[in-house]
Amino acid sequence: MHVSDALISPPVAITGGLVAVSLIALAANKVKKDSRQDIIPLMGVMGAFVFAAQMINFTIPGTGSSGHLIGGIFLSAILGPWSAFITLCSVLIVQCLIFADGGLLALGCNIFNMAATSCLIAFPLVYKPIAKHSLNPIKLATASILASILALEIGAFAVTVETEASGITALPFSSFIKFMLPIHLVIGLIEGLVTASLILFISKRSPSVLQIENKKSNDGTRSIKKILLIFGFMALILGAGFTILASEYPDGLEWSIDKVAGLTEFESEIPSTAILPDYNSNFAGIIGAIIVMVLIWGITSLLFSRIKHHKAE
Amino acid sequence: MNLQKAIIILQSNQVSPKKDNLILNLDCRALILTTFLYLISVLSLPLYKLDQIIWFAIFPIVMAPLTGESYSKIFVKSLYVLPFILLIGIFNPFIDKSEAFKVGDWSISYGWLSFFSIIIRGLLCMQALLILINFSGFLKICDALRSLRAPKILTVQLLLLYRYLGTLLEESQRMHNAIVSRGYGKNSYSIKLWTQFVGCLFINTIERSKRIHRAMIARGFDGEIHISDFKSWRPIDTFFLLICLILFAILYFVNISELFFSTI
Repeated sequence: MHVSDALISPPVAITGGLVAVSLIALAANKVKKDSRQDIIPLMGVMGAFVFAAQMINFTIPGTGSSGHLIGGIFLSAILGPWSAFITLCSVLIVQCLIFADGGLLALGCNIFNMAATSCLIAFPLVYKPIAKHSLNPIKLATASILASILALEIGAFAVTVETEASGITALPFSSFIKFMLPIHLVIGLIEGLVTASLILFISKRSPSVLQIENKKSNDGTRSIKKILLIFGFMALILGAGFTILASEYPDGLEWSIDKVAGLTEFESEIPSTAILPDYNSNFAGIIGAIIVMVLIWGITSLLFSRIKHHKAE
Repeated sequence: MNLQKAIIILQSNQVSPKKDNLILNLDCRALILTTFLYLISVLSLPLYKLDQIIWFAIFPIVMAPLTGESYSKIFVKSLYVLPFILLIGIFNPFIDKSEAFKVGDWSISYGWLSFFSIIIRGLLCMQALLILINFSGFLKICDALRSLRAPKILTVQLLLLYRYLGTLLEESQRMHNAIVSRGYGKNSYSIKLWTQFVGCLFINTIERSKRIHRAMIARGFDGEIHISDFKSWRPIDTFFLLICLILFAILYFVNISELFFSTI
């Protein structure tokens, strides 16, 4: 569900980036106050663990396809929501900067869609109230499944809003949401099942790991709800602000709304404040640009292979 | 991505590039800022200006060999981003059928134009990211993040994650090999088997974190991991940034295709 750079516009990416940076700063502040001495190395190896676990696919019964763990709810159950959020952010940053998964500009949106929705929304609002402090298997399983479904659904909703606000897809919002939500409901259910099975396994083999979190992060739940409200408002205000900015560009929200309304003539819709005068791509221009790029590619390859050859000699 | 592939990519990233040219000696912050500017310029152009977007390929084409990798390799690697982009963009030609221009008797619709534009933008953005990764290596990026005042806990977390990722991936690979070699040809995981596998890996991980914590305390860990290869910002970094900024501004504000090829 990583959003790629090509699917979002700069205003949406900057909004997502600002929200992500604020949440990281807040989480860093919270983790500093954590009383656990070993939280830093624990977060480090847990990040590596989630990454490794994501590489191991399981067979989805009855479908013949396979899936993997995402890990937001699981990490929150072990580390607490704020530490889990930082850990999951670091996994997403590593995925982006080493494995080129997602995009640099889209990183903020991906952090919000995948880490914030599971660790800071679904975990405190669903998992914590259901699981409470018990190791009751039914409560743990129900909490894991419901929290995972909620996290994935909010994430999918966020992807839809971001893509539509960027004006990239011509699909109307209602069709796009009908396409995204059912798929992520199934993914969320599967994620919930594997999270539940893993948490139940750990609750039997090493219950102290789960109990640590339950005892010590109890005081954080209330403050998270307050902070979530504040950030919800902040995100709305920022989003609204940048949407106004986006509307100055022909590929912004206005374009998207125009598409939904069924309009197809864009020239007349572009406001006079646009930086560039609008004109359509012409076929000769496209072909010309491609030819020149191929030529430059050929020349640079030749040039650098010669330089390498000279150095080798 | 599977375990084996992840290990190979990680190992290739851990081999630091040879510092034998101007670009590889630049401050990482300069290239991070340049990449951001590039992405913003490419993505700010309207979808229908495909003829203008294509010119932005000049940046990855020139930068790729300077960072020690041929552009063809970067291009092939960037194709990996295609499936999700195709999934989102494929609806455009079917929904937006109004005519953009004609090629002989063929009518090219705005839908097709935006579809190809999404693909080109996706490839270019991925290529810029791959060049950044190729140039910097992860440690340099962490160092740059630290000097850009990212929270200390995040940079320490990133460095620890990077340090133990290889170890845990290799441990997972060993466990996977053990299961496969005892599985009588069966190499897929049911949810039950997966739980036992990942559960055991988790318990080993917790034990490992306790050992690491004791070792860190014994070596006087003060909440920070130091990187020895720190660089300060130099005039050459400013010069590089300015040159790129001017290039992107020209590509953004001047439609070269229209200047040279509109009369063809």
